[in-house]
Order: sequence, then C-alpha cells, then structure tokens
Amino acid sequence: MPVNPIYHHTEDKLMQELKWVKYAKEDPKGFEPLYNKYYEQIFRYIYQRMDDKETAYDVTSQVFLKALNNIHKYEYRGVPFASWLYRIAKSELYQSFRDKRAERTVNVESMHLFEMIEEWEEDKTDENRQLLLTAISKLNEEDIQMVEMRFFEKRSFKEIGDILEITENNAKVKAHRVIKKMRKLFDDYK
Amino acid sequence: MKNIKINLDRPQVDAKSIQARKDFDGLMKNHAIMSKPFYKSTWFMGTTGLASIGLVVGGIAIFSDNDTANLDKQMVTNIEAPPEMTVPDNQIIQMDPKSSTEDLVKETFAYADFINNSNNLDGNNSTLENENNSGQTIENDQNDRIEADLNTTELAHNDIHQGTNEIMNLHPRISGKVNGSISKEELFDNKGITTESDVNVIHFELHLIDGLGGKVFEEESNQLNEEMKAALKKINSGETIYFENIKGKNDKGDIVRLNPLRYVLMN
Repeated sequence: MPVNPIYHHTEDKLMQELKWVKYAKEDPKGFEPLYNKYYEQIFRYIYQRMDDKETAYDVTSQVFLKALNNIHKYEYRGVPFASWLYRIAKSELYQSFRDKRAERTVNVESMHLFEMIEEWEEDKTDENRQLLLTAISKLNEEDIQMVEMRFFEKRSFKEIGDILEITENNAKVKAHRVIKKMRKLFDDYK
Repeated sequence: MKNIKINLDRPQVDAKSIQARKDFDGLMKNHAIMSKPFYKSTWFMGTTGLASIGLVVGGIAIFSDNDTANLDKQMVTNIEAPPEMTVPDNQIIQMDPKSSTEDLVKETFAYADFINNSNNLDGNNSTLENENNSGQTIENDQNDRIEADLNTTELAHNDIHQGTNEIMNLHPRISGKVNGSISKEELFDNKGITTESDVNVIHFELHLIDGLGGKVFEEESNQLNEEMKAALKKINSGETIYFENIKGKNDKGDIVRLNPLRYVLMN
C-alpha cells in the first residue's frame, strides 16, 4: 500500500510546520501556509463522505475557521498538523450530518472493490461487486470509516491511528476485524 | 447502517477547481468577526443598552410611584378628622375682615393657645367650661398672656444682646480697633492694648514677619516697648502684624487668655 507523501513528513518538514503554527499563534496571517497546504486534502476527505459538493466546501471552510480560532490550543505531539485538522474535519462532518445539512455517503470506486474481490480470490464480476457493496452497507459507522480510510483512500495504519486517535497496532487490528466481517457478510449473501 | 448512500464511481473533483475555491481572505474576515470580544459585538451593546435604559426608566417609575403613594398617604393622614372635640359657639373667634394684620396675628396666637389648652385640659372639661362661660374673660386672659410672652421674649433678646456685648468687651483692641487696618500713630497710642471690661492686659507678644523670616517681641504690660516701636517703624505699609498670646487679669486676680489681634499697617 502506498504511503501518502503529504501526510508523512520528515523531521525537517515537521519542524517547518511547527514554525508555521507558531507564526499563526502570533498572527492569524501566519496560518496561510498551513491553509494552502492542507485545503485540498481536507476538502477531499470531507467530500468523500458526503454527496453535495457545495456543502463539502462549506464544511471545509468551517474546519479551517475552527482551526484558526483554536490554533492557540494546538499542542505539538510529534505528528503532522494534518492529524489535528482531520480530527476537526471529522467533528464538523458529523455535526453536519446531525444538523441534516448533509447526507452520509460512501463514495466507492469499482477499481477498489475489484481489488478486494481479487484479494479474496473471487471472480471480478459485477455480481460480486454488488454483493460487496451490500456487505459494506451493512457495516456500522466505525467499520465504514475504517474501510474508507484503509481500502478506498489507501491511508497507512499510522495515519489512521492519528486521525482516529488510536494506536497504529489498534488500527491494524480493527482493519483486520472489519475485513473478516465483510468477508463473512459477502459469503452470507453469496 | 441506516440512511447510508453509496455512490459508485463518482467523478473526481479536479485539483484546479478545488484550489480555485480557496479563500484565505474570507477566512481571515470570518476569524476577525468571531474573535471580536463579545462585549464589542452589536448584539451585546444593544442588549446592554436597552437593559440599562429599562432599569433607569423602571427605577424612576418605581421611585415616583413610591413618592406618589407616600404623598397620598400623607394626604390621607392630614385629612383625618381630629379627635372628637366640640367648640362652644362662644369660643369661636370672630374675624373682622377690616381688622389690621397685628390683630390677625394676635387672634391666631390666641387660637393656637386655646387649642393647646383644650388638649391639656381634655380630661377636665368641667373646669374648661366654667372658665369659658364668658367669652369676654377669655379674650382678656389671652391678651394678657400674649403681652407676657412678648415681654419674656424681649427680656431674652436683651440677655442675648448683653451676653454678646460682654464677650465683645473682653476682646482686646488698640485705639478702639479690633483687627483691620491701623496707622502707626494709632499703634503708638499710649493707651496700648486695652479691653472694655475690667480685664487689664498684662502680657502680649508682637509677631512681625518680614521677607527673611519672623521676629517675636514679648512685653509684660499692655504697652509697646521701645524695641517694638523701633521694629514697627521699619515695617512698610500694607504689611500685617500680629499680637499673640495676649493675657489679661481681672479685678479678682484671675488671669485670662484673650483673643489675638491682627492688623494691616496703613503707613
């Protein structure tokens, strides 16, 4: 699985980011480099989980506004600034679902579904793809989040752990359980 | 999971259109609005202002209501009928519209006196009735009483006047002057510091203040000594001189301390 180069930083890049955060704490204008760097990434994360593009832009703006308003509360924990933004994004996203401003949507690409089917050594047919979609729809929210991040967005276990505020190993265990659950559902519907 | 929608192969949004929607200035504006302290916000100012006006108006209304209520209460109190009291016809004072102001004052005093007496003698109506059998007798008695009161007041006034005079007589003076402006001739008058009572001045101090400081001369009589006169001759007109620590002795030998003197030299 490829490593997301925007998320995974070298020590130098982390320090550079930390400097930007410091500037932003002193002057809100110092937030611009962070905004430019992460805007697209956060927008894609949000839009991946909802249907309406305009609402996704609105929620993205809310995420950055909330981040800027609370930048003084940010504490560096040796992980990229993006993990903090993702947590805010997750919170804003679910708030928009509760407010009925957006509808929870799972955006799937056939290519990713066929990859999973191939991994299970099943035939890459449209019927199996439909069965897999049905299995996904039967998962709970926590499991769907894991599937989205691990199999559709191709995030590393470390990144998933940072976003979900769990350890890397815990993320691995959870991902394994979700695969097992999906496989069982797939077999049941077959 | 309930209420979940699955989109298959939804077209991706290209990076350019996402970048085009970036608006850091808008973000800054929103941040400025949100980070504005609440007490500077319009809604807070408006609400506080309205509440303050409400409180002031309410306070004024409440206090004015209280005042009105108190006034009403007072009015009710004042219009209450006096305790039962009957005034015989022959005690009613006949007012002559042509009578002079002096007569009117006299009659008013007489009526007030009558009311007081009536109250005092409330438990002894029989005596009152006996005394009041003749209206003419009451009028004469009241006139006598008013005259007696006037005499007493005059005496008291004389006493006060006399007391004031006695105090003034004790005040020391030079050439009959108690403070104010004085000429050197008047100062050197051989009568010295005197009083108009039986108290003779036996000691005083002369305080002269020049530009470099002050000088104090003492004398154990009521007369300025030569040293004092010499010093006073050097003092320019308009300067102030002080006589302090003035002591006097009366006929009985008692030593009293008298008021200090302060003069402005005329020449």
